Amino acid sequence: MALTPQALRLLSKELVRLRSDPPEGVRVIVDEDDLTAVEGLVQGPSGTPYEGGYFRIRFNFGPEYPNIPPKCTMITKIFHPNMSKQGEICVDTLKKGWKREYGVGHVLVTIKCLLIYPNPESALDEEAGKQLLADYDGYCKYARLMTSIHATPKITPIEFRDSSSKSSPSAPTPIAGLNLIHLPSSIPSSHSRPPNSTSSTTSSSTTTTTVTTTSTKPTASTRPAPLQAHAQQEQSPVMLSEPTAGEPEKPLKTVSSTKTPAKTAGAKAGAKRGLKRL
Amino acid sequence: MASEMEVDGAVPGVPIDEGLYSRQLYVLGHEAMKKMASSNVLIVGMKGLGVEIAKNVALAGVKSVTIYDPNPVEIADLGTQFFLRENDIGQPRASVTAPRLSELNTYVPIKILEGSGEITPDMVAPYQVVVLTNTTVTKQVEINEFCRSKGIYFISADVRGLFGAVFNDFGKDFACVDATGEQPQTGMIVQVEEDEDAIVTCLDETRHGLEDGDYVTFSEIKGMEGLNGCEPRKVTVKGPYTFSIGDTKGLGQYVSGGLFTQVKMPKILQFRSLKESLTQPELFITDFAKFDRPATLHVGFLALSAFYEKNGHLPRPRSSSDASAVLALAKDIHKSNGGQDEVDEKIIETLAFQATGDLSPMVAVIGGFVAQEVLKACSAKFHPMQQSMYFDSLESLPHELPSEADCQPLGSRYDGQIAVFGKAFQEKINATKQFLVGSGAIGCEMLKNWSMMGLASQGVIHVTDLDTIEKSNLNRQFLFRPKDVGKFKAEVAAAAVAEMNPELKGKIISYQDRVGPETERTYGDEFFAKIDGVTNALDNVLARQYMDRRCVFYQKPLLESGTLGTKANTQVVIPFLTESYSSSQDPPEKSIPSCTVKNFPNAIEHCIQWSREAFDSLFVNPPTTVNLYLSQPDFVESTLKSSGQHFDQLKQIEKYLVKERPTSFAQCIEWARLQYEENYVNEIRQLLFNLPKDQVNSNGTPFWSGPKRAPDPLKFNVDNALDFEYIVAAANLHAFNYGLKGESDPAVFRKVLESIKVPEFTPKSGVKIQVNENEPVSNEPNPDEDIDSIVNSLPPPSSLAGFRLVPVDFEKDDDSNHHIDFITCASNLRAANYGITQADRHKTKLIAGKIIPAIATTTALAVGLVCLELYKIIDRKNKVEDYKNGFVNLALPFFGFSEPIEAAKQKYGETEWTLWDRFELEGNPTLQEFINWFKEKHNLEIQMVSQGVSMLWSSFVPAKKTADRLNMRMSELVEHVSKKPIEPWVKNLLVEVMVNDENDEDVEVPYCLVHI
Repeated sequence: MALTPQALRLLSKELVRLRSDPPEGVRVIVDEDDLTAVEGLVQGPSGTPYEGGYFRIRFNFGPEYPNIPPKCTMITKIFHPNMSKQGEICVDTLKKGWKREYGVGHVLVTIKCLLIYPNPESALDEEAGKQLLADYDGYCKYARLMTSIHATPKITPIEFRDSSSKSSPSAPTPIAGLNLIHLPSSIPSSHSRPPNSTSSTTSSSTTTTTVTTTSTKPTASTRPAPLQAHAQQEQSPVMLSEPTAGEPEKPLKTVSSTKTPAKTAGAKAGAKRGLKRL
Repeated sequence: MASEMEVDGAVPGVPIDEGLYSRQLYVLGHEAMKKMASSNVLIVGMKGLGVEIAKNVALAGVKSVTIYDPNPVEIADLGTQFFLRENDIGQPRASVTAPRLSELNTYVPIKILEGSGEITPDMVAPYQVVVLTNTTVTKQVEINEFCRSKGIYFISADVRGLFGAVFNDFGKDFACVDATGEQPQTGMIVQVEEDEDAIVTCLDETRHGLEDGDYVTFSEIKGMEGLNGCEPRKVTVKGPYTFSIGDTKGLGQYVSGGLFTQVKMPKILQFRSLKESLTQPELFITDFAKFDRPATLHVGFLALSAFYEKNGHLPRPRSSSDASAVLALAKDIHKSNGGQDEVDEKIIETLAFQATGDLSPMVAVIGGFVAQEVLKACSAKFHPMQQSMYFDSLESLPHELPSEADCQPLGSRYDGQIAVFGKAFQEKINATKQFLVGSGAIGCEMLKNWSMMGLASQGVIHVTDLDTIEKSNLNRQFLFRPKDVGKFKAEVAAAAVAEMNPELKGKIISYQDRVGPETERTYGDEFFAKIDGVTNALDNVLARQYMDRRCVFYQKPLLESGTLGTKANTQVVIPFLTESYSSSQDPPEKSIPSCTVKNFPNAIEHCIQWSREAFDSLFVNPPTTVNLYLSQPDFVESTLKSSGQHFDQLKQIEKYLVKERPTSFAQCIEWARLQYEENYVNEIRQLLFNLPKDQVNSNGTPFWSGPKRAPDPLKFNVDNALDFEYIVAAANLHAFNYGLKGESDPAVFRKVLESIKVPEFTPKSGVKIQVNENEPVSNEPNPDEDIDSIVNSLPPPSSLAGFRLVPVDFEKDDDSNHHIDFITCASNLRAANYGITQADRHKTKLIAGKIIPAIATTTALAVGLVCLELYKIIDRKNKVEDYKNGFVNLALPFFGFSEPIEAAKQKYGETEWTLWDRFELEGNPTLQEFINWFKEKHNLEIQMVSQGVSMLWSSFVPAKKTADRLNMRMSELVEHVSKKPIEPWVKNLLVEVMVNDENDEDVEVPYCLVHI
């Protein structure tokens, strides 16, 4: 059975918005005779092993969308701990953390963030997960190689050639449909809560999540810190406050997404930070 | 706990018929059902209420039901007593009813208690539960005193017009074993203090869901091992993720891990006798909007009984003199009870006016409720109602009240209804035309009520259901008998209720259609023009949403209801007044992340999900793919084109068609054995190779901790029942795929298993790291080349003409097909890998089969509530406060009612609109005309136009394409974009638009109906 008219209405409106004003680094491909045959394109974020690649994601909307998340398949081959060889994507947004309001744009931005901060601790491709944990450089190299073989076209895909949506990293534009992007109210936060924490109000992580990076030297073998136990897939850089790109070692502050507007600058900065460390 | 229930002892050696009771077992559980099977129930009074209770109790399954009513059948009884016929008039009620009740459940004998006149204490002595209906208060007190002295559970109940009353007395110490019926809470913990009132902290992904006073025990805790398997500890809730459990000093220092599990503790309840309750009733509230009414009705019902005892009859319909006599009695009773305020005279008068009234929907509500109370008494499952309940649906009265003359009995079967609503309203009921969607549990109950009400005796009922009758339906879909299994539900149900009320003969039209876009030719403009409204009796949300859309489109009222175990909800949707069914939604279903299912299960649900997926990927998908390869000439080409999965699919075809195609059952056993090795040994070893048990995260914490449980490979053992059963199920299903004969002889399996050589497994050393990026990737096959070689190695479909595999079609209710067996074994083996508590077949079936627990009591009650709303719809009430949406949970018990929510008003420009509004355009305009119409008439700038899944036009469509389209008529445009013809019977198109207002702001507007 097809989508309900309400869902279709919601989807077509979102697609029109995404076409005219897409978030940084993601695009949608819309099929005129079937609005539900949506594909997304995610640009490999700079500073990650996926840089230079374009990753195609197919959306499958079940009849209960948006009450039930769409099924998303990564069509482009990729080496990533949270994406299986068959293209399944394991991200909380598409499962437990799904919310009706999310839509296509949020999913694509989340996948983009997952490219920046893989989550090896809930690996779907456990080889990639293990690799990332044990040998970060090796993981990067292999992922980069896979990107260059499978995801890097000779010419920029047409969707990304539209000049109107290009924005320079130094002049970040707010993400379109910003309201789509916020922390889910029940973010699974780290499982390693400090043992002395007893008050449920402070320990519950419904709105606030602490992301801390240990100060490390930017050598070739260190990797972006936020993928440690504290970082969850959901805590993508769009939710972080804006660290200055030039100060990657500064620990990130406690951020409440409900108060801090998400900015692409965060994503850019995060990506840059990754670049420096690599 | 079990004390009195075991007076007769359980029937030994008679196991529960799981096929029949399947859905109810998921509500009550085996324990409760066993206790019920030793209870003998007596029901006194076989008018409508008595038979409704008897029906529900018999369906549920008790040791025996005995009925008592020696009085002769009267014509008015036929208005609610669905097992009486016109030619029974004059016969004793019990003796004509018993044979029909007996057909409901072969496991429950229906006995007739002999006797004449009123019931006496010695007659009730042999029973465990006694229910009195239609008896005076004096008689009730007499029987209650006796029952109390003998430890017999006592219930009395009555329906008077739109009022109902129930009283429970389950004795001085009634041990209720499960007060809520909810699954015990369980969850992972990360910290336990060593303290006087130690606080337990949950893994913060999950709320503990406990309440103060709940009890828990623990397992798998490291460090504070003293808590593992401890006596249940009482919980004080500290927050959503924390609770305290009392003193843990001296139990050691908590290190890590652990699970808490809720333990249900018996709750001891004290009941007062009816005699005491007469003056000091413990009132149970059913509607907080009328919280002071039960006290009035308590006095009112006592006054009615007193009136009857004095005058030998109940107050006559709308008789002022009788009503004032009742009011005087009520005032006396109120005063002698020490009542403070004045009694509500209006309510007492109305009760007296309706006292001879007897309404099928009210009987259904009270009868469903009381039957569940009987089951509570028998089984100690769920919390009994304490102690006096008074329920009314006065809002169902027509806004124009009938006159006294209009309510007088006519010697018709509808006299009980006429006494309340009057003859004129009865005619409106008779003339009603309804569409009933679904003829399952809710549908059967609905048709029963409708036939009793005389609904459509001068109108029509359309009823559709695509299903045929199955055995598991017979437990609650009471219009069906064992001989009907396999027949169409709608047809059998229609025939059954036409028997109950012959006036409906020829008035019910049954269909076997699924409602949906594909049947809109049948259920289209003409059809909807002929009906007054729609009643849903559906079992899934999608169909409900679909019917809701149709009702909004055709602007018809919709009655909606659903049940889940002991819970029920009802909703009324009224055009231009309320929101629609789809306006509110249940919270999104939480699915299990794929990485949890694939690598990190920590609960049996994860294993069952894995196992259910394994079932498809072993027995359903590969044979389906193989058949596609064999039957579609261009399959490889079209598969290649769709890309993504082609490599895997071809590998699968190769495996199933060439490499592993069995020719004997022995080979199926071998296949099953190797499958075992692959899933429960090799894959686990590979995972542990990739992520060893001592793997640490980059911050030094162990990788395998918290929700990630480290697995262990299994070792196959033919003497292990689980291992062996897995092989039996898997081999038989594999054989089924190839059309090979199945086998169940253990000896055959053993013989083959002994001879199988299982290849030694060496974990693959993982990803090879390329030192140089220019180096070719050795472990990445060149997909194109590889595909060609596979395709070439496959036998061409022509060489296998006619050969097909047989994909398994998952059927949860067939106990001999190995489906649930396989899923249970596969899931439990995986649970064994991960040290997760296993689940039995029954529980696995519930989860894997997504079974919705169901019981007749809840359905009866829900449908009664729906029909009480139907009276209002027939009366065309037009204020939200006239209607009630209901939520009920019989287990607690709990009733909640609310006004329907008004349709939300939205606004563009100065125009307010709701979901019931739309734009209408005549004459199949061109796109240009369409756009102009919005601009000129509504000052709205079109940004996007869509119809169904087709985007007809949007502002980013290139200019040339736009120019082409502007001149197309809407119908042409739809055909042009969708590349599909519009069916000839389609008269209008539903078009959605996205528009900007004059300030270039995006505004929400209704949909458009374009006539073509």
